[in-house]
Amino acid sequence: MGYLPPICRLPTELLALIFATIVQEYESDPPYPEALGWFLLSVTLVSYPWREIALGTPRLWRNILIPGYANLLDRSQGGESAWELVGRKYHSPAFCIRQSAVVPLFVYVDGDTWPQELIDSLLRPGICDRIQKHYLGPLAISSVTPHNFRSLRSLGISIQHFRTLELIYSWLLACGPSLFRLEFDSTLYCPTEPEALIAIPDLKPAELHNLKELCFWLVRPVDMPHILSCISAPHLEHLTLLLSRMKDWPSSERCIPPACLTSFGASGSTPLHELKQLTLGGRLTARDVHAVLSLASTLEELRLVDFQPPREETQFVLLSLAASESNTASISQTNASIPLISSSAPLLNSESTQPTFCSAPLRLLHLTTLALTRCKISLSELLRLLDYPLASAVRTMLLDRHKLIGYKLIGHELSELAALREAGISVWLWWHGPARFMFERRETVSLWE
Amino acid sequence: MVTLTTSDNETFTVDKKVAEKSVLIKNMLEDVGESDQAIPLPNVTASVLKKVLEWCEHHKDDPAPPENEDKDDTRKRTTDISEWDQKFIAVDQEMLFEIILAANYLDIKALLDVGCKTVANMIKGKSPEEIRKLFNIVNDFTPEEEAQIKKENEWAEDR
Repeated sequence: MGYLPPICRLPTELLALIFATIVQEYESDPPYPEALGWFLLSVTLVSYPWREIALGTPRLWRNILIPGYANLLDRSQGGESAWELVGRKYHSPAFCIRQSAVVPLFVYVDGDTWPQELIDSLLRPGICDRIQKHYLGPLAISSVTPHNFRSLRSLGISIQHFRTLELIYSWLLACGPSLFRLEFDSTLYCPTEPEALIAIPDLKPAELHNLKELCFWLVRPVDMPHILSCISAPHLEHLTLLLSRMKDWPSSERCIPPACLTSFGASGSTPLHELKQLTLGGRLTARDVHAVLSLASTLEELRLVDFQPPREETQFVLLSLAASESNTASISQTNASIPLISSSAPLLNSESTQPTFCSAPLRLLHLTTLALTRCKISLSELLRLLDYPLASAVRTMLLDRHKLIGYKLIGHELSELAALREAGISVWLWWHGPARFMFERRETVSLWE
Repeated sequence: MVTLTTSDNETFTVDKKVAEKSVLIKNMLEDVGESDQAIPLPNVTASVLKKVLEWCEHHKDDPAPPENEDKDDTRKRTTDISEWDQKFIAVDQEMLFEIILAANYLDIKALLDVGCKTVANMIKGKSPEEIRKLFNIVNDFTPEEEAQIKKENEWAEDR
């Protein structure tokens, strides 16, 4: 009997599961998983059995890319029409729609100059019912009409190049009732285009009663109040505010406009009174972080990304997170049961002047997870933070210092981390450390698993 | 304690909590109730079961995975594997695929995930030729067939 390589002994469903794992990994690189086409081609070229399994696994084909029409014409050589080109395999929406059978579809529309009948023939009502995620690329929003997407759960809108809210608003009105996740993306925003989105006067916000997740992905702060004026999402549980990192914008445009905080406030259209997870990042000021946190008292998980304001300000935010008058007996008791680092020095020295925005203490009694990615906060500061009553609910800390120069773990920090473990706090670390802690890029490390 | 018998007739006695990481074994124990009888595992050899039990022992206190995981959360990296699991699964291909098969048979979802993610990481970013070489797979396409598929998909190949 001939030798059968180990991978060939896997049953079809397990190999299909492995392929699906890879596709899911690529899907985590939004908006469109660029490398997916290459993977699907590779996997179908390995052998006949692999080809059969890949083509027979509908969920591998659920990502439908409708590329820019002009881009497609540029690639047209030898007199092929764009229609013929779009019929090609793997890059062909028609092929993927057919191959994906009945699984929910993730659709990415990348251009707006498509002949309308072509769009209509691809996104016909029977197909629209299957679309679970819809990502409208830079110029696409005008070529796809929203009325067919009434069961959409997830909508992504790339707002660059849109200087009017009308189209965005029409999508929100049409899809609003079914939406679970809504994302605004401006990753390719051109800094030379200074105009903000033009607001619609006397707008009645679209009712998004099922919306749980709202994400602003590198959106320019001045555009946010106008977008928020279109939305009423009273039951939001996850909010991501990753604002633009554009360095050359005036500092006044780099922070959260007060109108956003009004929307997020108790009487605003999108109050944060049910918020469980908050991700804040970009060029936010400490004042921004403090202002948003003060509205989110139900928060269970806080993630700060690229939070690098002046050191003093950072310390004050942490202090206001920690210090509070609500030092109740039950909290003290919880705190007392944790053998925290006894040598903790005060977080700030007495000569420091507290910024006025920190005068109101934060009340994050439910905060159990604190994650910091590329934040210029020393571990010692964080550890001291946990010595304060309000942070005593924290049981998980994630510290990602990948590519953050000057913030590597040093010897005494490791022993402090050991003390955290004694206190029952799980710590997850991602970093390029000294030689004995050198890990591959993107490797997840848990010191005490 | 629970006694397990492998296909090559070796017996393992393990803590019930460890054995019950396997949904198959857990269901069997519930069906037969309290019993001293060994549970036969005819699809698993001793060397593989030893490895699987090592994983179960290490993860015995892990919380049960949520039953209705939100499949929409595609932003979550799927192929990240913890350091301990990476070390655990750093075995030859023969053992790697045996572990995957055993995890599937014993219905240990988290271990099956680790195995699938490991193989996924091995495949990602590789050309068909590199994949064949890595896993000793024979190319059963004729050169003409291969050229034809590539021609039909020349843009994908550009990427």
